[in-house]
Amino acid sequence: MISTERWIGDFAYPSFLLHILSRVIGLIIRMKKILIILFILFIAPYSFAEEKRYNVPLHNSPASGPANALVTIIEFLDYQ
Amino acid sequence: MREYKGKIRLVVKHYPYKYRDFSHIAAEAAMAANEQGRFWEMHHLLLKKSPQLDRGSLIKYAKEISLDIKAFTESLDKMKHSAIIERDKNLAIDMDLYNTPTLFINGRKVIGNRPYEYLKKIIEEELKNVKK
Repeated sequence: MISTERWIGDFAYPSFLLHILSRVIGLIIRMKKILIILFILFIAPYSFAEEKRYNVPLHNSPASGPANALVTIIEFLDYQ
Repeated sequence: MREYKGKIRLVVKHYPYKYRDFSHIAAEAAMAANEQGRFWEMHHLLLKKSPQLDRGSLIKYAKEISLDIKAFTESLDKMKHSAIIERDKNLAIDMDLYNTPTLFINGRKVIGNRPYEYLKKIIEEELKNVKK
């Protein structure tokens, strides 16, 4: 009975409430840091990295379409 | 291709798989038809008839598109375009390509057979990029 009263008393104590509040805020800040780190590690490389473009020599390979076409598609294929 | 006529250029490179019986001879057939200015007709026929690509079938396809059969057969038997096919193959190996088809759309690599809508999306993006 005495211990319960003491617990209630501790909980009601302003510094105890501040302590809990600061712990909660600290946790949120730390979580934010973790989220930022996770974002940098896993998401940012995909969203910010430019897709690699390969320079494939055309040579005199069979081609269809204008030489100054806006889009050139080079297809490596096997008929079988 | 028809949808983007005038905006797209399609270039074909050969990457015959070394363990398949008719990969190389089919590429030779396409290039033999190319000699007679009929690459695309043979190309479409080979894609349609694959995997029926033995020598006899290839000559039959050449007849179907009215090629000069004597010149076609000679080109095929002498493997006249072997150097070009090997050049393409070595290029593919140098570029670490392992699958066919592999496409490069304005340099963007697309591996394997993809639905038309997927390719269309990339083409549209590229057209937009170029116009900017």
